[in-house]
Amino acid sequence: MEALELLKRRVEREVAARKLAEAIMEQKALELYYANQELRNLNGSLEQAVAERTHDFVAEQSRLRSLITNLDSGVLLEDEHRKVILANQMFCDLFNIPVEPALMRGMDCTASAEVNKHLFADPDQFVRRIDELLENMQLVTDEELDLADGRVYRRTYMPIFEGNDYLGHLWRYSDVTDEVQAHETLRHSEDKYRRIIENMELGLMEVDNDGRIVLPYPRFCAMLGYDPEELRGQMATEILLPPEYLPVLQQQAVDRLAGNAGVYEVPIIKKDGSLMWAMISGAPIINIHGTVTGSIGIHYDITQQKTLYRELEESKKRAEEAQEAEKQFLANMSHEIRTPLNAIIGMAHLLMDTDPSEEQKEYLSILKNSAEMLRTLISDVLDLSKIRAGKMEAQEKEFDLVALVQTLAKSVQLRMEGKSVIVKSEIDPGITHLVLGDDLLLNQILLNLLGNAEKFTAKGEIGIRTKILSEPHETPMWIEFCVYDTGIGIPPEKHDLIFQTFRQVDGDTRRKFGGTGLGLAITKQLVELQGGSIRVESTLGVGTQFYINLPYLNTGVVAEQNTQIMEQMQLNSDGKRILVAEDNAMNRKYIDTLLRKWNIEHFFAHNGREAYEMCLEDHYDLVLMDIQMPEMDGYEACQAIRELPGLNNRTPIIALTASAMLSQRDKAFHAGMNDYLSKPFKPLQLFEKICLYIDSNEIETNMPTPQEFTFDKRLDTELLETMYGDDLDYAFEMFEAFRDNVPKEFKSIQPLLDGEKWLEVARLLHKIKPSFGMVGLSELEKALEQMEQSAKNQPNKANLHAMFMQVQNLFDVGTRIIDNEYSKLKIIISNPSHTPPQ
Amino acid sequence: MKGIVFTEFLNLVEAKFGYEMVDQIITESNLPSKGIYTNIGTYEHAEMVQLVTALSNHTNIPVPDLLKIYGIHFFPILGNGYSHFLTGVKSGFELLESIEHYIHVEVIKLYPDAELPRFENRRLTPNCLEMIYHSKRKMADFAEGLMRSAFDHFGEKVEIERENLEADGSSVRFIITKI
Repeated sequence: MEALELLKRRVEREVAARKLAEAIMEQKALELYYANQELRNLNGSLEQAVAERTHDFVAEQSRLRSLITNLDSGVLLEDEHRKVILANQMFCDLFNIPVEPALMRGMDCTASAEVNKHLFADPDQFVRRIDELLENMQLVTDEELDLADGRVYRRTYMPIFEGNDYLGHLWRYSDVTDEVQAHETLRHSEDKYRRIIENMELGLMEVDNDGRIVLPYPRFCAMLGYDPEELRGQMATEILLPPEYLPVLQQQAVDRLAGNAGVYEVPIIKKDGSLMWAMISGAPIINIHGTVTGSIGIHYDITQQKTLYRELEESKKRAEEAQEAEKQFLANMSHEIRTPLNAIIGMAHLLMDTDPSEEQKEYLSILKNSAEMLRTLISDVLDLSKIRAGKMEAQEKEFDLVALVQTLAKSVQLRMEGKSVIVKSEIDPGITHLVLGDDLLLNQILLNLLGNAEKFTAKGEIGIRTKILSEPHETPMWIEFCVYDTGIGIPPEKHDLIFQTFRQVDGDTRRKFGGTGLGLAITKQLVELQGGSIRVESTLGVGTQFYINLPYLNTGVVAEQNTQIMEQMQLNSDGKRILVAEDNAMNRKYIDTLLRKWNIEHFFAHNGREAYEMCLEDHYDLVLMDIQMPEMDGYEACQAIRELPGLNNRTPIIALTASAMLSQRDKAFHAGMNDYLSKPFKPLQLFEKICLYIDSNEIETNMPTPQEFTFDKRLDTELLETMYGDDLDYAFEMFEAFRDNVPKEFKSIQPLLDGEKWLEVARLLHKIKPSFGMVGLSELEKALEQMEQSAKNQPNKANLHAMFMQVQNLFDVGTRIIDNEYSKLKIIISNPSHTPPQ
Repeated sequence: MKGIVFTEFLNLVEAKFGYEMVDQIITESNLPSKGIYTNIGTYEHAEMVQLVTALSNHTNIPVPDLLKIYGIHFFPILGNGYSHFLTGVKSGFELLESIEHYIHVEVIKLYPDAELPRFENRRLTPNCLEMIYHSKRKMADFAEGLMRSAFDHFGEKVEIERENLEADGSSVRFIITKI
């Protein structure tokens, strides 16, 4: 029993123990499970963490790698044992390492300094320094290393620490050769320019934006006598600039701040107080951000130039004053000299009229001639100085060129009375209009040349020919005037000489012919003043031709007298025949043109004898007989024809004389001429003469019946009507009187104005103004009245000149109208059917 | 204290004195575990004390002797169960020196709650080992038994001297000299 109980208890214990053990086992298993679980989780998180870290790390690595590879510097990363962790291509290139950077990983760099030292200018120093750096383990940046081949590397050594642990280091190298060189070049350049500027005696100075002197260069200081220290920090304008020039500097300062350079001149006060004139070229100083930080000025000493300039100005002023004085002198002298001269000449004339004795006459003659010569000389000298002074101006006026030439020729002819010299004139028939130019100058020119021709020609011929050189519609119209003679001629070598002042062909010429030697010089000036040219052709002992080319503008105005008449000049002259005896071809052509125009049958004889012979043969209704002809002159021919019975002894013969002198006319009449027409004549004149002698009756019926005459509407017709009513003769007379007197008087106004003789201007205006009213130019009369008042009361030079300009214009227009009316009136009253009022 | 100490003790008691003795000492003691022990369990050391004391009462063998005998008996059991601790160990000294830093370390790995003594070893001479035993369980006698058995295993003859460093036997100094 005991034993059974015992066994029971044992078994119970055993079972219980087993159960316990199982329980413990289960628990342990569970614990293990959880432990495992936790481990797994931990593992998982660890793995993840590691993965992330790895990823980050890899990414970082990759970035770094990329960075280093692409860095434009050579980079070598070594670990603490000097084993390569990383290198880039640039590094390999810089050190001529023929291995790819990727392959360098793990390479030992301990000997690398030695291996590469040959690249450097100081190989041993290179090695030492590397060792030093590695030993010091301090960051060293931007060390410059000189290579053996002249290049320059820049190096940074960077040790890498983690706390206190040395993990390795980084070498960084760059090739900065270019940069260094650029710096050097720039520095050199700057130095060079500074030195150049210094050497050029130019002073440089820099100021800041406030105008304070920042950097005065040595030369600048020397120029002014200052030490640099005395100038640095000073306000430039306070210490250097005379106060009256401050505005200049202030303006310049504004320009500088705006970024603009400028050049200007100012005086600068030197240390000793004296002034130095400087030309300053100032420019802004701009930093790399584009901001103006100050300005720099280059100073050039122009004191000398300034003085010189001032002196020159003085001299110029004095010279101008002298010239002015001279002109005044001449102007005064002109009057001063001419007055007594004129008196002398005048007195001589008067004395001549007091019936002097022969002896006295002789003396007087000499007196008169001398005085006249003197007067001419002075005129010439004064003219020349006037031209030289540029005071001579070519006017532009409308004038009748043909009339001018003809008049001149006539006057020469007059003078040549009694001499065995024929005077001729030929006009280009193409000159039909009035021209625009200076008639006075032309007159003077031609007169001068004709004067010379007269002087040097004892016998033969003197003449003037005009010819149009330019094409019909060319403008301006160039006209060639040829003044020719059969005088003593000019040797070729003197052709240029004669145009020089005070020069004559030779001493003999002067003695024999006198003269001042100024004539041609003046003539040349006058020609060239108008834009023309003059030249001479001559043969000794044969003759001389002076050719002058002058430009004129053609006006649209045909010599007014001609237009209407030309149109009206159509004769019905059936069967009427005219004989023209004329030896000159041009003249023949001229007459021919006209007679054709008027539809008159006409025939030509080339000289007196031919004319006579033709008259023997045929009857002519009219003979136009030139006087001066070879073989048989006009007088002889006329006489001969008059002695002929029958055919032509009652035929009217009109003498075409070369001058209008009384003696000529008488001679013509004595020779049996009916009438005369003096050359050069206008077509109208010829026409009228022809009209007179060729069956006036017929003409009468065919002449256009004069209508009721009405004055030109531009005139004051009311006034004219009042004054003249129907009495056209009276009107004609007044118009004629006007034309004869007034233009002459009018011309004197300008000189009086120029001479500022206001009172005389007023007087003259007062005198002539009524005349204008008489011909219906009331407006003009009023204008003259105004001008007269102005000249009398408050003469103002500018005003009066302006007024006169207007008056002149009115005058020009007005006189043209008057000329026109005059011609119209003349025709009417010349008409035989016209009956003047009683 | 791990269960194996109890189970092997009771097995020894059963072998030497029969199960009736086992039953008796269990019943006489006031054991929270009621005498139900499994090797891998963990029980109060106080229960061991009760059981050994109860046995001592019944057998009139002093407790230290009982512990020493147990110790001598226990070593081979350990040796068989955990033979890997003996692999490559050439001497007793070597084994004893490996207890602290190796064997007990492994034990703790398996049984983190194991209460184990702490040893300080010092070789006084190549043949003389000083081992100081520290343990709150104050089972130096048990330890001595284990030691003797260990040297026996290696066929080594030793002399073991011991002295209490603490009066209560919680620190004992052993001087083991190889003969």
